[in-house]
Amino acid sequence: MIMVAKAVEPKRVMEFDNLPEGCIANVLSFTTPRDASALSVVSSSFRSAAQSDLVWERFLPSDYLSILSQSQFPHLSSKKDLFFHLCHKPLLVDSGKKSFALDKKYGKKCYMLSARSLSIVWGDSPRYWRWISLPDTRFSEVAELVSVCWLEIRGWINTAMLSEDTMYGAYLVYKPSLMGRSYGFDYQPVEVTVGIAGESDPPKRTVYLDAEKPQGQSMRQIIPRRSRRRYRLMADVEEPAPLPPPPSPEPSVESVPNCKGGSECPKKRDDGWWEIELGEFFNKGCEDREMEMAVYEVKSGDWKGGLVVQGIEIRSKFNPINSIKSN
Amino acid sequence: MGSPLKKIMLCSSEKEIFSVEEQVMVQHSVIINNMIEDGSYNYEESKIPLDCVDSKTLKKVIDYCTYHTHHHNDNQEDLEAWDAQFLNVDSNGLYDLLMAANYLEIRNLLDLIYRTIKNMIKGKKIDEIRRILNIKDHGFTPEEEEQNRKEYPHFY
Repeated sequence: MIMVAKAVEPKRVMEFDNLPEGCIANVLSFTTPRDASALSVVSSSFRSAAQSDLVWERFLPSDYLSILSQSQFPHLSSKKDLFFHLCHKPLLVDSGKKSFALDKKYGKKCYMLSARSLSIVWGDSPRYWRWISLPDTRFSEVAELVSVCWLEIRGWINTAMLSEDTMYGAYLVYKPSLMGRSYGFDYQPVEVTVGIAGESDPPKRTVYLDAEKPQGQSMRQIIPRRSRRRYRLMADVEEPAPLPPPPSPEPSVESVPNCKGGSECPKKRDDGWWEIELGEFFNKGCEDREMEMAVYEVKSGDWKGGLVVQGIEIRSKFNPINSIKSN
Repeated sequence: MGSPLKKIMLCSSEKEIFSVEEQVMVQHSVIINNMIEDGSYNYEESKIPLDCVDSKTLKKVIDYCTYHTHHHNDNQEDLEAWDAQFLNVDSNGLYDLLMAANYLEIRNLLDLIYRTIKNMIKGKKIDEIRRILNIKDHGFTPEEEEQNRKEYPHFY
């Protein structure tokens, strides 16, 4: 059989709108989810191309089928619907211990590690941490910090689970507990790190968890120093807690948090919870690494509590350099 | 796969005949690869008629396939620089190349063109995109256009 090329006469005036729909869809698939949606207003051909599975299949992560298979998932007729469903409704995976979602601008993979999947020092002692259920969380359980001296929470994620060539941020998601406001965090920063598990000395930052005063007005200590110390000593006698080093010097007025909305301050999320950034990392994707994220305050020896921890969220972060690269 | 020594004939819309190493086209064009594989190409007599591809465009397509066949081991940067130079054509040229690559199913050339078009319209306002792509009739009713404008005000 000799191929007979019987296509349209070559046009001297190109009109991209006359391209086969597959071509427009392919151009769109080289953009981003956000741009593909916006470009649907260019013309009616663009609009129909912007609905096509060809475009949205490209925006879904290559392993989306295996991720979906971990969970009950409604049948959706188009890849576009599936994409936006995953953006708006995090999917519980790993037996409900993690949630998976897509970022809607670029389709990057995002996860939240539930409190149950984290390593929480003293998390098994109801006196220090309680496991409760709350209606406004995606997980069946969250961890309520009753009171500890030694606060230490760690989580891990393998970078092979994440999108390549993407800057990620890790965030502790929490809120003041229902029993009342949090205490021990208003003047006391906590340390946070994100780094490769097993490698020493990841960059350390200090941040403030006090969600009720993110603006950090200069606060005087609520409990006088001496009585706080006594409280700690009495508690220690009853049950040996992980013993903290000697208390740090009395915080001076200068060391009182002065949050100006920077990354050292918590931010309110759309879902009503608070989050604080633990750090960031760039996932090149050529090697799989275990990233470790940590929050701890083990130096002051002071008691702190009244928080509920939902988990640690790992989501894509976009600075201009990063987004320009996406093609 | 074809033998590197064999040649095949391609015939442009102006009936100009181009003789190309078989392997060059087999490696890049899905359509030509299929023809060779299923034996429908007769080396003695066949010319592959490409009525929708003019000589100028066909020559460029052959240049692209030849270069990428012989330089596929070059480093990525050099190849990208060559590609950029190769696609330094006006919109009509780009459109013709796209139609030809689409017809012959030359996937890496298609992807290169798609990316180039994406870059041409990236960050542009709607009127400019329509002008660049020469879209004279967007095909929307006034009501739809009004709705689009409401939905993506920053685009207008």
